[in-house]
Amino acid sequence: MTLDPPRQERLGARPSFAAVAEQHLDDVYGYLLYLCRNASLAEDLAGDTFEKALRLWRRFDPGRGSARTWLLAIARTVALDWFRAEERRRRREQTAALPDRHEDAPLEGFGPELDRALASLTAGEREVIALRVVLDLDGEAAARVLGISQTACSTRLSRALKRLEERMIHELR
Amino acid sequence: MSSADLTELLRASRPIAPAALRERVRTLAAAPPPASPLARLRTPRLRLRFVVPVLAATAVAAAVAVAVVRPESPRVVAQPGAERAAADAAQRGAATTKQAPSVATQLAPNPPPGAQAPAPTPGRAQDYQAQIGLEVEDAAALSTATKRAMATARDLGGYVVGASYTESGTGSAQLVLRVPTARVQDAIAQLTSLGRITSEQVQIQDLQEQLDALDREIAVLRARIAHVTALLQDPALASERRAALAAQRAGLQRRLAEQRRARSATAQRAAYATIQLSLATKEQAATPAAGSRLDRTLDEAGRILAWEGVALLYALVVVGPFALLGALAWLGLRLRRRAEEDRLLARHSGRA
Repeated sequence: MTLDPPRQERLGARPSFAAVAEQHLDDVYGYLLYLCRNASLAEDLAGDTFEKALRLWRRFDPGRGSARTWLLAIARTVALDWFRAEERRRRREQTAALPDRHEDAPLEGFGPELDRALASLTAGEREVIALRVVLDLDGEAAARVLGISQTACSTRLSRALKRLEERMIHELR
Repeated sequence: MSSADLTELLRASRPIAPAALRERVRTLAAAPPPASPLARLRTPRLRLRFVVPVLAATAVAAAVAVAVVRPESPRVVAQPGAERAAADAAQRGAATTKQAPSVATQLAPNPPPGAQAPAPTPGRAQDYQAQIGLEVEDAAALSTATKRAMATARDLGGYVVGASYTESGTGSAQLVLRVPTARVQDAIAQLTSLGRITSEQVQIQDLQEQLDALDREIAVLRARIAHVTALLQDPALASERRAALAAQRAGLQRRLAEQRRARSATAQRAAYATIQLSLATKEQAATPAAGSRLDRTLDEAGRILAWEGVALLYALVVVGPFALLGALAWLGLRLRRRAEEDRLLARHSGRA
């Protein structure tokens, strides 16, 4: 008899990487899509995240947090590294132009109003919405992924939702 | 649109990973995890919540183990070699001190009488001073011991310089005795048999050189006086010269008298040893009675633990500032990194 990964984690057993990857792939991809708002980039970064996670898998300690939180924290690091690299590239090219390889088409699965409203938010605002609302992480887990306190996480979420609500009302008019 | 509607909308549009990505991750996960070349060298993660109790338990265990294994403190007694060294030092004119710690004296019964105090060097003038602390059972024993101590001094040809006796349930007595130096060891042996020794200190100062110098000076003065007296016996001596020589002789005689008094005082100092004897009943004794072996082991373990605490405190004082600087640097870097991340995330508002 095999146990599903969350139950294994609750019992303190170490799940297999394959099971964890299968279980949380959508979460990681969804988070990255919200963060960078580009499907192909989110796909690339999700792949990089799981590669890095596999390399670090020996260090994963189920006693210190869930596999989902651990994967999302790695995904955030991978995305931030990409943002930094992108910043450096832009500075080198002395241009503020967006990268050519990322099209400006609406994202699949989002309505046009929601897509535009999300586009008006910062990546920091979108990521807290993704973690707390879309992926339904509790305050503690989300704060751990973001590396901030729970209070700061709640404040950030409240502001982000307020801004999104305002933008949605504006888009629907 | 309400917040609830918005939340509902966001959850309904939850992204699903594309099939290509799913396939890529499945392939990745199916492969065996890469073996780290340093995996064997990796030490297990130390957690503070385990490390601190383990270190504390180790410190306590070490203290108890050392206290159990360590032999009991030996009683400090004058060894023959040490006694000879003390005598040698006395002969060189140096002050010599021998002290038996009070705790050590309690751990063992009194040694045979006369075995502890260094003896004065025969044939040399020495200033011998001893301080002895004794513990007696009760007030009655205190009274008896005080009387016997005074009698001992007299029996040995000495005398009592001063005595102070206090008694009210518990009690104490202080005696200053002078006994002939030649018999001081007998005196100390008899006095220490009156109770349990709690402290003992002996100081010997050589006076022989001082005495010899006085003798030489006296001899010189006598010779000069004899010479001046011989000169004065000349009948042809002029009256002024006679008067001057008479005055000189008078001066020399005065100095001779002073030197004789000084010699007499020094000889008196050397002739009698001074013994300060402190007697106290058990409750009055300054030091506590020796406990059982378990008590002593626990005391020793406590002392070792205290030293470990001191060492830890010292290490904290030395390392503390560096640790604080390190923590501040780490905090600063972390804050800087977080601020940089916030800037990055704020900059990427639209599609990346």
